[in-house]
Amino acid sequence: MDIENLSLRELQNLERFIPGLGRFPSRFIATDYNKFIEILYDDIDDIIYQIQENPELRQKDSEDRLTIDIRDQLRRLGYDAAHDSKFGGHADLLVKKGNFTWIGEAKIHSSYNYLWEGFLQLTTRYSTGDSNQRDGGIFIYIRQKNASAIVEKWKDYLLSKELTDYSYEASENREISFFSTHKHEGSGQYFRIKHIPVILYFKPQDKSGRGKIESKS
Amino acid sequence: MIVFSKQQIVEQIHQDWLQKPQLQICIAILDYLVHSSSQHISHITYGSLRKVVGKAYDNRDLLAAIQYLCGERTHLLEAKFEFIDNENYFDISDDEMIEARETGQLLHPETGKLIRDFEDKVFIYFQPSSVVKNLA
Repeated sequence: MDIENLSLRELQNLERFIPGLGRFPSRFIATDYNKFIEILYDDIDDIIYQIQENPELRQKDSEDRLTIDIRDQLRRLGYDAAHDSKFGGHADLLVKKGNFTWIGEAKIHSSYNYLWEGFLQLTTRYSTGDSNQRDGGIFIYIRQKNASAIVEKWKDYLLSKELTDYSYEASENREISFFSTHKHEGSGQYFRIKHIPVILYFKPQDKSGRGKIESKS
Repeated sequence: MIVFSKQQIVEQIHQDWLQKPQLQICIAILDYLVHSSSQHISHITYGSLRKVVGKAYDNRDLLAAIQYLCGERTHLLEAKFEFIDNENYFDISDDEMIEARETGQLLHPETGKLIRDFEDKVFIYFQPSSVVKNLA
């Protein structure tokens, strides 16, 4: 591969070898808030796919460990990303580009009440809901089976909370994710949250996998 | 603007890449940029950065490192677009490029005619960013 001079198309074609590279030009010219968010979500999806490749190595990872891995991958793409930054509290993941700020809250799924706590932290503690931060995200690390069913129940749970002007829509790129929108209590403006499940279920049922489980019990 | 020291940036690069090849690549490029800044070098290509790091590292690692250095995290490199028409070079602003990518159309900066397959004729080059110029 000659890289003396790379055209936009050549860069895009290299995406399959270096994840995120095809979006590189779009990332650095993303001067518009919506574009920044759109590209960030594409990058996060790619990172999640990578993390999900080895669930067996993730069974004992804490919320912080998993979130720090996401932060590190974002940093390597060039993002100004921080974990545990002081931002009305200690946000799990903070991504900044100029004045634009995206905040992510992360939870290992144990109960819907626990996810709800994350939702409240994100919407009532960390975010202002102003024009430079009208989006946020919740990473839901799921070690149980059937992540889709868990996400569906989470949607129903949110619906039962009767948030002001609440609505939700599917994520086009990754079906298991979804977006919710409601009126932010602080700003009174619409606040959109991407709910990002991370599938970490690992219970192999082949002979070798069964053996390991049996020998542990 | 916040002024960083070279040492702070080196520490950040260490933190981000640990033992990966990009660590040495980024530091080699940082050294080159500090040097080039004093020489007012303003047109850096992928090829020139390839020469800076030598043959010890593969292109894949180099491209990932360049992408990182252009980002907000360090922002040592300022990425720019240029349209190359035979031997003629024309700068394309970020706004023009945003529009071109949205509409799928880019007009020739001189003739005003539509450039066919502009994505094959627009290239990226780099300049030392203001962070490099203001290093403490």
